[in-house]
Amino acid sequence: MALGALALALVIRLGLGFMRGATDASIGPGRRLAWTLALALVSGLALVAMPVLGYFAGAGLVGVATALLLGERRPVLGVLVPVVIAGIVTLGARWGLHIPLP
Amino acid sequence: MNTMRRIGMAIAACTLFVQTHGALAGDYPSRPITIVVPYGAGGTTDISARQMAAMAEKVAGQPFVVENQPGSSGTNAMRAVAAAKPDGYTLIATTSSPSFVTPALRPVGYDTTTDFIPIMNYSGPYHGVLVNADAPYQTLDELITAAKSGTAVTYGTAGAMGGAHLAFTSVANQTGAALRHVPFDGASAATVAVLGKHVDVALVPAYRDLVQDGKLRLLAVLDGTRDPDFPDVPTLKDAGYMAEFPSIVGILAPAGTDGAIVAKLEKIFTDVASSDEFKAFMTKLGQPVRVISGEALKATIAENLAAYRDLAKQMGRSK
Amino acid sequence: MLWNAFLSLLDIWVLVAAVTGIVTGIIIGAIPGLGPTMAIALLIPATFSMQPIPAMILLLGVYQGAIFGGSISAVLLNVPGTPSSAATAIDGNALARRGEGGRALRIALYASVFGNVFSCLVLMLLAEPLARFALDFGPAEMTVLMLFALQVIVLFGGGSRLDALIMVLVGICAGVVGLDPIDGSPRFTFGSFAFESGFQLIPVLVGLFAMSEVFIQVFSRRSETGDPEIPDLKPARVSLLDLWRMRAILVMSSVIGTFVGILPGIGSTVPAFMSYNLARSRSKEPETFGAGAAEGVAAPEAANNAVTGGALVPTLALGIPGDAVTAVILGAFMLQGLAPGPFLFKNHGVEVYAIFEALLLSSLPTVVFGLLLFRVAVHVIRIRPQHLFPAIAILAALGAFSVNNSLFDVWVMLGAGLLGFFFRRSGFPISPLLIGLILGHPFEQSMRQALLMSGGSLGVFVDSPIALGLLGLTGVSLATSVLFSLREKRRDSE
Repeated sequence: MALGALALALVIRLGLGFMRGATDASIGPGRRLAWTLALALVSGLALVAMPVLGYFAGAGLVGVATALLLGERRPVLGVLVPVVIAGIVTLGARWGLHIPLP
Repeated sequence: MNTMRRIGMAIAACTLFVQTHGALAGDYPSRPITIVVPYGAGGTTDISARQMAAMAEKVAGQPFVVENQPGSSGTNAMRAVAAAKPDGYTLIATTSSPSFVTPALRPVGYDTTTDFIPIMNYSGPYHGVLVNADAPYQTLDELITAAKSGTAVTYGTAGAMGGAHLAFTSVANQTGAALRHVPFDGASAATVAVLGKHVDVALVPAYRDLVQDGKLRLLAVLDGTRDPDFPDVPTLKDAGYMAEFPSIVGILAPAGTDGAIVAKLEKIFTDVASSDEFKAFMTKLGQPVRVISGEALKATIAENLAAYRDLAKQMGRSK
Repeated sequence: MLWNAFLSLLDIWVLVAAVTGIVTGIIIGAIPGLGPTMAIALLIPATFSMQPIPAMILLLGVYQGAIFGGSISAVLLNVPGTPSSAATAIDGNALARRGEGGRALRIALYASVFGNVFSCLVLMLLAEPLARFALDFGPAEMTVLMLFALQVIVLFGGGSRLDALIMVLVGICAGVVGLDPIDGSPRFTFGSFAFESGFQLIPVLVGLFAMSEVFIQVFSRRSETGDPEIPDLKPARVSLLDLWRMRAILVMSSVIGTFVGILPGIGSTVPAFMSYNLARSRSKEPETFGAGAAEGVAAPEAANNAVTGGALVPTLALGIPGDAVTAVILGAFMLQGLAPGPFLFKNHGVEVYAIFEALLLSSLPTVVFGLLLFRVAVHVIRIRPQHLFPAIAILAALGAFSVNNSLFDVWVMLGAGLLGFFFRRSGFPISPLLIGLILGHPFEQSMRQALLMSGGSLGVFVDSPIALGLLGLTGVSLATSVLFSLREKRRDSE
């Protein structure tokens, strides 16, 4: 029954998708999309590495990548700020909130 | 002061990663011990385990750190602890469902009988067979007789394929009664349903006040022993049905833990659980204190795991 | 009794507890992914040694504070701190982008306080009869109610209804993953244990709203075309007259919030969106919604805060919690020797009424501290994105992880973030997806429970007057909506 509902929902969705196909907005310039996907990829890599390297390193990596991709070019601000934030968050979560971070 | 202690605990927990040498039973415990709770922070299992940990710390001289690892009705935490190093520094405070109910139904990635050594049992809420006070049934027999003679009786439980569901399925199988199961999302929702007369029966814990207030009637308890709050109410077995759902809240260690360490832990936890202070705390929480030795707990788990596997097979749901 | 209860509040510790609770709650709530459940669970050990009244006031202050705190980040950053403030983000953030963040926050604050006071009064005066009324809502009635809620989300959300419907369906499909609610068998788990819990709400929320915002910022970064424009901060007065003009919306939203709060298992997100949509459909200028309408901030905020009082009704009167937060609060009450349930009001009347009165009076410190906090918080919007969004990405990972302490949820968050990014870029509304995910599972469960109870007969949905009434309401609103849009079309063609 649940499967039926799911199949029905998917069929409706696809049908509607075709009907609306013409009005869909384009997603935007490809180069920006590539950068966005790059951030997703870096975040994914950081997640894969997180059980080994720990939350601090992983989160720091994501933070630095985000900062650089957002156009920060000054090394102090682009690298140090995210790393410091990651450090504060890690310490706060582990000792303040008792979350057993990897 | 509390903060100071927490900081101390934190520093101590930090050294956990630094120390690498294996502990000998003689100087055990030489560093903080982690007790994993398979449910979220703030629930009854968590609160009672935290109290247990705080009191055990005074006896053992080392901090007991409680860590929550919720998800998949407790099986995530069980799997993690089963894989932990059996050095006595990682324990789990677990309940019936992930120890012998869920493993009988589907693959969970561990076997409670071979992957764990039970240390002791300290609590376990009684599950009751409850009907609305306006319902015509005064005893369990009346209920079953009605269900046998064609009245469709619906019963609500805390969730699909839980221990209560399986126990009542077994009653239905034995008697041929038409008992229709309606699973709810948690015991509270099932209690609401019987209070609102949407189901005829609910198999839930935490019923004391509602029964004493005259909103619900307790026909039987699913446990192996009677609820001390209601000594006149029979267990399923007393009432003549061969089924039970023994509720446990116990501490287990990964298999391979040194026997001397297990004995030491059993003594520490048994001393704590038998103390008046712990009993007073649990009474406030509305939970019973039920001290059972590690050996007996092991037997209970093994017995019930086998029984539930059989039952699951009968229902066509063997794993 | 009320006077005695009031006297017991004249204690400096009560004030300290209220202020600490509210401030802690606001801060934790403002962090995406960390919500009231976690904040309360964290503080419970600290209350062991406290007197019952300050202890409970501390915890309930955290509860209310956290629900409100979520809307601060929703308004200023377009990143809701808790699921229930996702509706606030729509118009709140639109206001903030026009430089009216201070005004949006004040409206949110006053609406929250209104919702709190309203539901608290309901709790004080009507707890027992309402708890009994809630019992009449069985699986069949809940099914119809959720159907109505889904319909309100789809029909009155503004924008394309087809888009909203598609997103609700995507959400419901995502909700199917995990264990079957009736027979407990795994569905779409691909043999992986991690999938058995399904997609949890918090990681999906954080991904859809916070992480996708990060992606969108990276996508459309402005630094190539010069510095990002920072809007001037406009004066942020909200006069009593403004609130008086919104009185109907405030009352309606508070009623919805309180009512849904009393019923188990729906939570505060759905009533927030329902109020938002209903406020929009009632508005004389619905086109301002989404572009910074004051009512669009007030309605969801009044509703999600009113849920707190409503959710406490069954918790305290019957000892039956409706959700995770109230379950934790229930435990805290028990530890203080105030076991909720039928005997609570009889045996501990003074304490309970003292706690209620404190909840009412705590509106004062909430307003004072809220306003103080705003002075600092509005400047967050002036932080450059390249410094702000790394922090949001880091906090998003933490928030997702903290739900179950598992990395799987962080993956879910990242996936939802990417999905949310594509949906938002292609102009789909993402809030209906959230609602679909929240309601999909309980909707299926209630419907199948009702059918199990009736032995498969559909008659169960029209058997009780409540279900019948709700079905009628659903039908009427569907009909008016269709008629309205037809009329609009005709007017357009003329």
